Amino acid sequence: MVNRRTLLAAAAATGFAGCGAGKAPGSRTPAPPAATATPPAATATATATPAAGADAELLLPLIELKARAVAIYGGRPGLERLRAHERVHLARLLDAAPGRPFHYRVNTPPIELELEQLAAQLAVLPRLADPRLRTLIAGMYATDSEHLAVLRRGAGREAVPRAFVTGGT
Amino acid sequence: MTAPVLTRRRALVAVASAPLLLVAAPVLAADISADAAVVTELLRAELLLQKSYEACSSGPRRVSRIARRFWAHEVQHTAALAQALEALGAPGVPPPRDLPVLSRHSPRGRLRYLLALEETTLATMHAALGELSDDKLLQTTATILGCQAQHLVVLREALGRQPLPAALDAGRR
Repeated sequence: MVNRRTLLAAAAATGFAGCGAGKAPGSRTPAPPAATATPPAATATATATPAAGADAELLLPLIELKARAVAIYGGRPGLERLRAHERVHLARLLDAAPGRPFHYRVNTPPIELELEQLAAQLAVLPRLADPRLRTLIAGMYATDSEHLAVLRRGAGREAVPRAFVTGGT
Repeated sequence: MTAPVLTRRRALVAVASAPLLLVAAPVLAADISADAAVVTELLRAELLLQKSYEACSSGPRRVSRIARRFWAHEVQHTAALAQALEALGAPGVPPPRDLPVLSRHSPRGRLRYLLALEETTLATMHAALGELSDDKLLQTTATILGCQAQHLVVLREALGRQPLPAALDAGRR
């Protein structure tokens, strides 16, 4: 079990993400493909009002993806700024949905990871009742779109290939 | 095709739900009207961007190369938003008139102008995602917001600035 504080601290540990699947953050020994974490509300620094039940449930897939992003970027030199952004996103989501168990894997290439996050955020956005949560997700959507542009450019690809960013491609 | 039979149960359900419909109708109309106001604002911002990229699509190659690519995106954005506005039954938005004379600006000045405009547009879209009520409009706006954010990366890099300045990019008014 990993709590919010240890999860965020684990992002500072480098090396594990590059090992791919089967490694949980904070662990140097082989672990099952999925790690389970229960972030306790007591450790959270409240910067957002916790979401109502239905909204909080909707945030869980995003929390899982953000936790995965923090872990993956932690193992890749040159992506420190992206990791720092993802840590902020994760912290804000955990503040909004405290005490929810989640699991994640550490085995996705960065471009695919950002696409997956964008697709998940786009799916959740219209289902959130709280407008403050929608603007929080909007800020993440903008930043993750920027991450995608930077990663694409780094891979020698067109930074902005389409007029609509859906996360699908 | 046969007409539905009006049974006693159906009649009672219809009568019972009538007051709910009467209450719901103005609320829905208000939502549509509010959405139309938000989309009008978005379209106005996008039309200004489109016009600005068009104005920068000739001239120094450093700017025109970017402007031509992004102008094509803005054309798609304005078309999508104009279509949404029409579907909401709202009047169209005229193209912007008061555009700065960009030919007087240096390439760097043009890039700075475009960057500022993109940041303002991103802020408008960011706010809109907290205000819109229609699911499809929310998603369309988000996909456009993502593209504007990516434009910002290219413009910041062209100006030698940090391409990823914030963890939660909400643009700048």
